[in-house]
Amino acid sequence: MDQPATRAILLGSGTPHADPDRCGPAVAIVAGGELYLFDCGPGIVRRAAAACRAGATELEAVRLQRLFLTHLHSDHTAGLPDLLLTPWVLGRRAPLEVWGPPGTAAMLSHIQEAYRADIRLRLEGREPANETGWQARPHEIATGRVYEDAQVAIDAFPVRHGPAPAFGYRIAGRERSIVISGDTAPTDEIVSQSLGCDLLFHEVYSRAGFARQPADWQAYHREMHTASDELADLASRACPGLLVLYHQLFWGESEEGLIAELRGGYGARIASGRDLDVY
Amino acid sequence: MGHESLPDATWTSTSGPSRRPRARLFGWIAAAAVAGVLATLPYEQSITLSAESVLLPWPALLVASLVHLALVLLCASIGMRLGPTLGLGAPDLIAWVERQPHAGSKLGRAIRRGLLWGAAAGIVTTMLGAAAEAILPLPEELHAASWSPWHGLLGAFGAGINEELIFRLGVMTLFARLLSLLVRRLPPPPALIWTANALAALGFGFAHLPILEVLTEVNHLTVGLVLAGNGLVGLLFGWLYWRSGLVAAMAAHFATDLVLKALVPLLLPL
Repeated sequence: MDQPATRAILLGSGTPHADPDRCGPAVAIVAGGELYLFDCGPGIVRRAAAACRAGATELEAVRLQRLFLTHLHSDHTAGLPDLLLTPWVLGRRAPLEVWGPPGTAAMLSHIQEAYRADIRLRLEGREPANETGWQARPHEIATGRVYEDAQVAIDAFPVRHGPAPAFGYRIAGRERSIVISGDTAPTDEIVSQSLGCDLLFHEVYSRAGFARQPADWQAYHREMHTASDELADLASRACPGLLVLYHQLFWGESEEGLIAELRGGYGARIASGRDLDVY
Repeated sequence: MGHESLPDATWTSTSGPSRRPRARLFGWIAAAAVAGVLATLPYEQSITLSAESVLLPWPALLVASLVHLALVLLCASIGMRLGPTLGLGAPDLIAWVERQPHAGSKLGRAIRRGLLWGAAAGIVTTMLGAAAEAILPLPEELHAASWSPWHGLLGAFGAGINEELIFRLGVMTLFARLLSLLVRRLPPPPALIWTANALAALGFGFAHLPILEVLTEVNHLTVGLVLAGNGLVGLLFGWLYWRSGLVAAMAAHFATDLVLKALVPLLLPL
């Protein structure tokens, strides 16, 4: 079967839980041979290598050059030192371009400072290393159009995930549109951004599992994340071509159980995302 | 890891990682703009006195200053809002207020770079101006403009801040955004940044025409010289803004004006 010209590869479907089968949140969008990464949870570079080995050559380490961060929580950014430095060690010459909320530039400069000794050793020692690939170009964004080239137009929109700025992204490819929620409680903005999109990657937690959580964690998740029944309602209004669950908090429920929870209020196409799934 | 190496409280505050530093930065920019407006007043009054033999009445001066300040703040807001996705804006200053590693030393290097380029531009402009006077049939100066070097120094300080906030952070950034919308490329490619720079530099040149009317006869030659001279140094400031940051452009503008408004009158009096 022919692959769509704009396709999404789920590099990491996980959460802060150290699930060995699910790396931290990361989505790769491939369009016209160009690569755009969204979030960089732990494990991103090795998952990208696995996708490359499986045939997605756009994810070769030296081509990991553009990253869009939804927010700065560690489960979405713990792979950033890896993404900044490993592809450079492997030969990437271009600086890493990073779009993200205010604080992105500070995070990058502190990472570079933390690895200063290593960077200096590689630059000044006997190991062959170029002088540009370890650098980063941060773009601290607000909502609206943040990137556009011949393949995609990318808009950031606000999501509700605590007091710090956090974004979702809508990626308009030539023939497909993809929305990535990042971490968020349900909002009307996500519905309007996702209306009629082809793919909606949305975070979710199990309502049944939620009931077993301590009260303080329930309060946190109620305010910051999206329950399965809330996502069912949201998807019913947005009508995406395919709803892909990612950043799933199962809390002891199975994938089938989580999907069943959504089926209570949403009858269209759902996929429970797993690492390295291609859509 | 020692406790002293932990980020300061700003990073972990519930108001987000860096909102407060940015609000503080805009406050500082506003304070600098006020200082810039005030610093420019003695120089502008000297020019007015040279041309009209009277000082501008203080109510008119107050209104003009407030309008000037409002324009500066509007342009600064536009630039800070649009700049980050364009590779423009004031990331150097944001890094400094956020206390990012080495931000202070980077800012120092940018200032030194700006001062060197600006001083060089001031010297070259002075030499070209002298050559133009010798070669071209320029009109006699109508008014022997005179101001003290102190007024020139203050004028250089004010122009370095406020004209860069208007023309580079505001106008050049806005042109870059409009052009990027036109060609549907974000961030804009270098050719587009240069186009935005050229348009802003042209605007910078036009903005200096009123003083020509005060000082000498307005004709094609004098207008052309003012547009060319200011346009070229405007291009230099725009390039520095793009490549080295807003503070480098401010430092360069200050240094150029320091040469033209203070050092040349001091060392080469009419």
